[in-house]
Amino acid sequence: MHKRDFTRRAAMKSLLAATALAALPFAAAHAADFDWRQKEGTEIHIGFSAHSMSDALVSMIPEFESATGIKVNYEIAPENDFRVKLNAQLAAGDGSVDIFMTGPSTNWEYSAGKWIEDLQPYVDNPSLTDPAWDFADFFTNAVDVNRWTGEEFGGLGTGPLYAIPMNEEGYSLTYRKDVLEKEGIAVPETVDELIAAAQKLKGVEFEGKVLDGIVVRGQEFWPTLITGYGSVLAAYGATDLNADGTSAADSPESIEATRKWVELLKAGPGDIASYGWEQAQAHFAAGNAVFLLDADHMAEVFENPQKSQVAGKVGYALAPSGPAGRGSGIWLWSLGMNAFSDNKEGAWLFIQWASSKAVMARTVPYGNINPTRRSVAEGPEMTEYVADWGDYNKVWTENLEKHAKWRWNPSTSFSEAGNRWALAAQESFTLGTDPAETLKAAASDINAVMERVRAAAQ
Amino acid sequence: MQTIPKDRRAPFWTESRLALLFVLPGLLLMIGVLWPFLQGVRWSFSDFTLTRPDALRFNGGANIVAVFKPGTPEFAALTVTLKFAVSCVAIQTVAGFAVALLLNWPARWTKVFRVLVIMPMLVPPIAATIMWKVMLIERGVVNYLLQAIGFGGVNWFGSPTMAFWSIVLIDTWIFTPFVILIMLAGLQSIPKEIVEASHVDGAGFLARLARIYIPMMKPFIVLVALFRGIDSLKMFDAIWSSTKGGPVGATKNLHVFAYEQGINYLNFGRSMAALFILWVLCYGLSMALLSTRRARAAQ
Amino acid sequence: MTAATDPVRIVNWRERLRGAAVFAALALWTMFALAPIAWIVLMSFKQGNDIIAWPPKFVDFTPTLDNFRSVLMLPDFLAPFRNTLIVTLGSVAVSLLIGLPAAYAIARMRLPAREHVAFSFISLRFAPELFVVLPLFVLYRTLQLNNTYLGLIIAYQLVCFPLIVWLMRSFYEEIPKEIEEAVAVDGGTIWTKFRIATRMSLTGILASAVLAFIFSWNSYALPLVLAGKDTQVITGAILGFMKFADIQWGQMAAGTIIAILPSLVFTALLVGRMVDGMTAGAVKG
Repeated sequence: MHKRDFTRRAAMKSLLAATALAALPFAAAHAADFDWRQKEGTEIHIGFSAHSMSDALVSMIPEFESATGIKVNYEIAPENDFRVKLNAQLAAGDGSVDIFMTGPSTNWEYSAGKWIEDLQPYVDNPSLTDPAWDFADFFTNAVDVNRWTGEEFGGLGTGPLYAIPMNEEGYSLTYRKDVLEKEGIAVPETVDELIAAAQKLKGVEFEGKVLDGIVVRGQEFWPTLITGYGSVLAAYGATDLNADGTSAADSPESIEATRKWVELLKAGPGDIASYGWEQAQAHFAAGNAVFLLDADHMAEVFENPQKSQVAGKVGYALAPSGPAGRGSGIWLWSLGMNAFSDNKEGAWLFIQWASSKAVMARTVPYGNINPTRRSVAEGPEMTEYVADWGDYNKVWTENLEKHAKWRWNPSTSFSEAGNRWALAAQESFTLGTDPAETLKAAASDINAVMERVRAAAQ
Repeated sequence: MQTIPKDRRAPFWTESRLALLFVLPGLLLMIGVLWPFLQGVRWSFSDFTLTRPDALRFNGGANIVAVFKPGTPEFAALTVTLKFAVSCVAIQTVAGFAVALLLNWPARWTKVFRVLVIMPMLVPPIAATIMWKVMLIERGVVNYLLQAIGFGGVNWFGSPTMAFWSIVLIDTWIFTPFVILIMLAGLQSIPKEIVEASHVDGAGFLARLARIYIPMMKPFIVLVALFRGIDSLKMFDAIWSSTKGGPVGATKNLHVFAYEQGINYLNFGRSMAALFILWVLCYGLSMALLSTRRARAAQ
Repeated sequence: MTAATDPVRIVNWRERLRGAAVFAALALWTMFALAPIAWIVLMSFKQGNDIIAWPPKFVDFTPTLDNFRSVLMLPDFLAPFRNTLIVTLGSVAVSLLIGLPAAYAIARMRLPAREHVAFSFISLRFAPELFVVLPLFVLYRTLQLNNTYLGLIIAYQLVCFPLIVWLMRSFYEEIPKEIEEAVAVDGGTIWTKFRIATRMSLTGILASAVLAFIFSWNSYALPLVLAGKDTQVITGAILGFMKFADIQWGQMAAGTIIAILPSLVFTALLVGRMVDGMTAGAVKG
């Protein structure tokens, strides 16, 4: 059991903390131009979702407080249930939470209710934003997914900026180097190759254990749709909407991709239909599967000998390609601001601080990856953190630059439509129905949802 | 002039007035809950999205009707709700009664068992379900033990049917102690003389069961069926922490459906309609179970 | 009659056989009840990679106290523990205070519209948490009851009060009417009757209090929305170990074990005192 990784991270954290004062924007040469103490004496309240980013920021809050004079209160809630409380507060016009964690689809829901603040004016305001903060340093992809004009089913990537991204997640192929080597199988490049390899390896015996070919999320919810399944859909050129605005869930490309997806599911564990990211991650970390098609940053767990049995045995590759090339979805955890907040400038100062180069870099050793700033992605913290992870850094950066996109038209109905689509895929697997049938029913239901949303938007 | 002596005048606090005073705090609680409840009812008869609260439109109960229309997801949720309630109540009442009878055995070692048997209920249901989910994965400890004694592994959460029964299993594990506790207290309130008399009369256990235990425990059995019935109709934590209603909606009851519609899709009209029907189901169950009381009270 | 056919000895032998069967059956059920808890205890002493191991590890792992250490050292755990203790004990106390008289009034007094009152109390339990919790949140905002102990104690009555009233109603009804009549003859008031009835139903009160404690302690949905940073309860704290990118199973298990302890203590103290046959000496008509 090597403690090396563990102590190395601890050492990194304290080293970075020691150089914090020098690195922090407050002490930068531009400090004279920018007043970090302009909201001194005020208070802000943050609603964190349980995440390593939250842990990282929470530990650094005292520095923020002493540098700005702003008092910070915070709460941390488990991911799912954090939304119940937050929705209750936002719906009640409660301004008591100034900042909260958000993602693309929740941005849209909140913006429809005018619950979330457009941050672009703050970014553009020189008295509120330190030029050293360097907005251009963010990966464009990552920022633009947080923009939406508010037009149902259109306007993604332009318009108000609803949140500042703090970390990115792309979807790629993670595999067991040792198993592939022993069995003499090359890393699959295409979806068909992956299916063949996974099916061949299902049931293979390796070091006394019987393995599954592959593990992925199989639950009937939209996270399945945008992750592993989403990569397969993208590889076959499936899109979410036809040119006429109706659902393309039942397009020929989607049907074919879904058939391939079902083949992959069959090469997985028997209860894969109940797997969310937790189960898929634990399954691979326990050494029970050869391939994983899901979030790239799960490497963080896989390479940690205290949390997984496969540390050092893992390889990373881009998601497999199909007739339409390669594709990946994207997810970002970002910080957004409550439109009802009574201390918006103070909240902005926090968001700015948290997403600054120095602070973001310091969240990396806590496991807050992948960083959304180029400088941090190429920086020493990241390089050091993933040093033993083989091709990891190369793969995720290439993925973010070339393949990772948000492939779904923005809408307040996204989670409902997404769930319906994912359900069709699960039905194809669990009930054995042909995807042509299940997807047709899904498309019809999704069209009804879209109708309802379009009507309400008028 | 003669005045009526103080102790002969009618007292202000008649028994009825005193009784009302005793229940007053409870009645205040009722009134306090009334407003949120009525709000909820209003929402259930409307189209209401949380993000556009001013667009609340009365829709004549379309969402409510949907719950009873076969083919809608609401109707499927209604079916699942009823299936869960019937299975859980039946299994837990019988098992709980049986274990309580066992614990009623006159021996000192039953005291130890009594505390041990209560333990599952001490675990917060939400934590218990998460742990059970870990134990019931394909490569989990339960399958391991089953395979060790010769049975095959079971696809606990992967198959729609087994997912349903897995949740019944978890709910039974957590809440049978509730039944046991009440039944045990009830058994122990049966006067010893009656039981001893039946022994002297030479009655066997089954006779005692039929002629003493079950009749005298009827109010407790009704109580247990009432509480477990209501709670299993409303079951949420166990399902949300394990399957979130899947696979293919096999475990999605009205409460889970309502959560998804309301919290995830912000579709409050549809959500509240489902919850209102759930409320009505609880009401119906209570009326049915308590009808015997009402009959007696009317005498 | 020879000793071998002595009826007393035969009865003893049969009794002992039955006793053994009862013991065996109870042991089986207890194994079912305790096995998962034993597994959670094991989990709390394991490191992450041992928890997910397949085949599952029963003894061949290096135990660690890290999980307990990090849970106990977390300020985010001890405070919720204390909060839950305050709110739960408070809720049980309040529900007994208002529930016992209510139950007695329904059971044994001349209460107008008795069945309707009783039914309305049980209907408090019908409400699915979600149905009331969001409007309740709004109401609490106006009344400034969000994030307060009092607010939670009042909300918890939704869970405890119907339980106490209906359970105690049954127990009060079990008390033979002759006893009450005897008290009246002796010139006792309603209060005396109430006091005596309550003393005689101790078993019932203990059972109800235990259940009210457990249900309040384990409540999740109500405090999720109505509690705040200062009043966060233990169920929320345990779930806090489920982070977005990683679940800390070991700490969650350790947290669960610690969370069980108060309920366990409370239960052991009270259940142990459930005395057999409390209506000693009275004959039911």
